[in-house]
Order: sequence, then structure tokens, then C-alpha cells
Amino acid sequence: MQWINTLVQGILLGGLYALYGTGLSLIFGVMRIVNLAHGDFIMLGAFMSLLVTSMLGLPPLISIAIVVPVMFLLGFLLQRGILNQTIGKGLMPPLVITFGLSIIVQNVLQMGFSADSQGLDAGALETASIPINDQISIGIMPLITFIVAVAVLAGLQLFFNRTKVGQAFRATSDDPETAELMGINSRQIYALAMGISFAIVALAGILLGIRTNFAPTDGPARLIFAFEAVIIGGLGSLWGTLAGGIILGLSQNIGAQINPTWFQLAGHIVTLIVLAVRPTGLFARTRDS
Amino acid sequence: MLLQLDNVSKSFGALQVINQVSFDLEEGVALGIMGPNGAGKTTLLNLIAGDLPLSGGSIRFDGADLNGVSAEQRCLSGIGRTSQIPRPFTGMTTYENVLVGAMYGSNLSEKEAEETCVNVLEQTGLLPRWNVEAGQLRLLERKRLELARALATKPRLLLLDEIAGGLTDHEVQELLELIRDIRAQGITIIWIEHIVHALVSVVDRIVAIDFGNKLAEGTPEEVINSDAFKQVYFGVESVKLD
Repeated sequence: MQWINTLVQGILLGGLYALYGTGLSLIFGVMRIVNLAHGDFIMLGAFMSLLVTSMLGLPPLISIAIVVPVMFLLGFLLQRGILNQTIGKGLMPPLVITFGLSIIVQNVLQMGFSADSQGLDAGALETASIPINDQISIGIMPLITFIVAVAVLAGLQLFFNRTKVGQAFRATSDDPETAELMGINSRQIYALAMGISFAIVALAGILLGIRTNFAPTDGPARLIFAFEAVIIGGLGSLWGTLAGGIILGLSQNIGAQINPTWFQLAGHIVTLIVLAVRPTGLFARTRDS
Repeated sequence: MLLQLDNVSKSFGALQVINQVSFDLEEGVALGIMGPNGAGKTTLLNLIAGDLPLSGGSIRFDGADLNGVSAEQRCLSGIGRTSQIPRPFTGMTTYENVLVGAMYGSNLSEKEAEETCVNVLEQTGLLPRWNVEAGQLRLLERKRLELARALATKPRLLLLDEIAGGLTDHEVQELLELIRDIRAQGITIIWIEHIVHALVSVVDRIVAIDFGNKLAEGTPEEVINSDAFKQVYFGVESVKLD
């Protein structure tokens, strides 16, 4: 019974990792940029929610309505103002810029909120759960997170396949130069992509903040989980990222079940095995022929 | 004049690729550009399409200076182009490829673009292959898709970069029919091509360039019989061609 519980919790944890990974994968897929500050922006989302909840006295889940649009705008402007200047100049400039941003975000958060761990107060929701039997109960927050992740992925899928802007996303990620010859403003698409990535990251940050304590320097660890979910699932595959997140969550929980210190280690080992056996990821949709 | 090139130059560092080339193009005319490999033909097309910035001179389209106008804005103002090596969006279907061109290039909603897409696919003979992933298309089909996508943007000026290259004779003939058809629609064409007989059978005028310089300009007969052209192509001063 204990094992079934471990598996259920692992799967639900995968929803959070899928949210981490989706934004990262989207950015890489559309403009081949690796955003090293991705994890720190997750933390920024969490702290922004902390600010909104403490200033306005709103519950954290309601703060989503404010934080997500603000983060979208921030991502849009970041791409427009800074990262678009580096497009076409190789892999290095965006790496250096996002590495710098990572340091800046961590320090600004430490200045504003001190280095202490914080938590978002969602009241009874934090610990509420649905008991299945004596040993298994499903936490409401992990369940909400998982449902949000599925909803975000389904929304993205619809967006890419059914909307005009979504088609432009696919065209631009396939071949930006040709897309421009079709009249698509690729810089605008890049800015939108970063905005969407930030919006997803904000969601992830708030959901994380309700489940557990967080500190300004937690970002890089979150970035690793995001990378691992993407690597296991395969780049460019939306549902692969969810599967990658679930596999990562499962490995971590199973590892911790064997030995409590193996939580992260188990995830890293599974990622390494996937990298060695199937470097494109388990569910990659290879487009480059 | 639909297009005016005035002393257009392009250099990459010390390398002068296009050197003060000028010519005018009236609406509805089909112009061929000839020249040996490395003459700067594709560069010239890239300058017109906005893939590369000018080093000197000016290009005017429909009276407006194109200096500083981005590639996607040029597409919107009516300049369409095809690539030498077809570059379909391989992860999208044939239909979706054309749809992107129609929606963005001529600023339509998905619903409005439908009709354009079907017409263009029909004209280019791709309708039976509409739901195939573009990565699966054969070479001739990919070339047709290049044309279809460019046509979907509703161009007034269509730039064709060696569209007949790599095709068999029979395939070239099929493609020629399509290009004549496009011409008959009244679309102005600039066509770079190595396959001279194909080019000559369609275009009204030819500009010959070599090492970035304009060698000759005129009707196909005038250019092919000009001394400068023979010098470059055959290495002789003057040979009587029949």
C-alpha cells in the first residue's frame, strides 16, 4: 500500500515538473534559446504572489489573476528589449544574458525578501486531501497542480494547432527566415513565446509556493528539474514534457522510498540513463529530416 | 515602375558582391537574371527581398524606398520569393504551409484564407497532397509548394531563385507551364535560372551580371548575342549563334 501511495504522489508531482519544463521547452523550441534564469523566474513568480497576497490580503490562488499577466508582460518585454538583440548571434549571448539575469533575480529577491524561506498561506487548502483508504490520500494541492498542468498543455496544443498565431509559432520554430518571407514578424512571435513561458512559470511558482516553502536561491534547483523533465520527455513534444515530468516525479519518490536521501539522486540517474539510451528523449518528435 | 534599382551595391567586408547595379522593372514584366556561379544573382534577390541590408544605392518598390524595411514588411507590401533549395515548414502539412503564407502574407483570418489556399493549391497542382506533411513531399512538389506559399501571400512581384534547378527535363516543362500561368495572372516576375532555355522561354527581358557588375540588359536575343555576355559565358569575343 505504501508503494501505491508513493506512485500516486510521484505522478502528481510530475504535474509540477511538467509546468517547469513546458516554458523551457517552448522557448528552446521556438527560438533555440536556453534560458538559464528559468528557475529563478519560477521563484520570482512565487515571490510576486507573496507580495500580492500580503499587500492586498488575497488568497494565493486568486493572486494568479494578477501575477500571471504581470509575468507575461515581463517576459514579453524581456524578449523585446534584450533577448531579441541576440537572435542570430549564436548560442553564447543569450546564455550569458540569462545567466546574468539569474544572478540579478536571486539578489533582487534576497534584497526584497531576505534569504529566509517563505511560504504562501493558502489556509486549509495547503494540507487538505481526499482520503482513498487508510494509507492513501490524494492531496488537493498536488491534484490541482496536476490538473492545471494538463489544462495548460491542452491549451497550448489547441493554441498551436487551431489559431492563426499558433500556426505562426510553428512556422517560426521550423524556419524563422522563411517565416519572415511569409510576412510573419518573428521578433513579435519570440516576444509572445517568452511571455507565454513566463505566464506558465508564474503558475508553477505560485503552485509551488502553496505546497512548500521557498527561498530566493531555490531557482537553479528548479531549473535542473525543468531540464530533466524536458530531457526525459524529449524536446518539442508537449505531452512528452508531461510524461517526462511524471517519470521524474516517480523516480524521485521511488528513490526516496528506498532511501530518504535518494530523492534527487534517483531523478538525476534516470535522466542520465535516458540521455545515454535515447538522447532525443522518450517522446521526441524529430522534425529535422 | 514597380521596382527600381539604383546603383545597388553589396559588400561583405572587402568582398564586393554587387557593384552599382541599376535596372527598372515595369509591372507585369517577367525579368530573367543570368550570370555564372558566384556572380551575385542570389545576393541581388536577397537584397530585394530584404534578407540582407544594402551597402549602397537604393531599391524602390512601387515608388517607396525599401531601405530599412524588414523582410516581413516587404512580403506584406507585395514581394514574394521562393528559395533555391526548397524550405518547407517540414513539421506542417502542405495546406498549413500555404495557410501560413495566406494568413500572414495577405493578412487574412484563417476562415478568409481558406479560399485563397484552395485556389493556390489547385493552381500549383498540390491539392491532392494537401494533407501530407511537407517533409514527405518530392522535389518537384516541394518546388511547387515554394511557389504556392509565395502565391498565397498575394505578391505583386515574385522572386524565383533557381526554381527549375535539379529537376528533370520533363519536370522543368511542367513547372514552366505553371510559371507561365502565374505570369498570365499579371504578377511581375524576377527569375534567376541556370537553365537558359527554360528562362528564355518565359521572360521578356534579361539582365546579365558577372562579379556583381551588370554586363548587359535587353531582350533575351539581345543579351545572348551581346559580346559581353559571350565573353563571360563562352570565353570568346564574338561567335555567331543561330
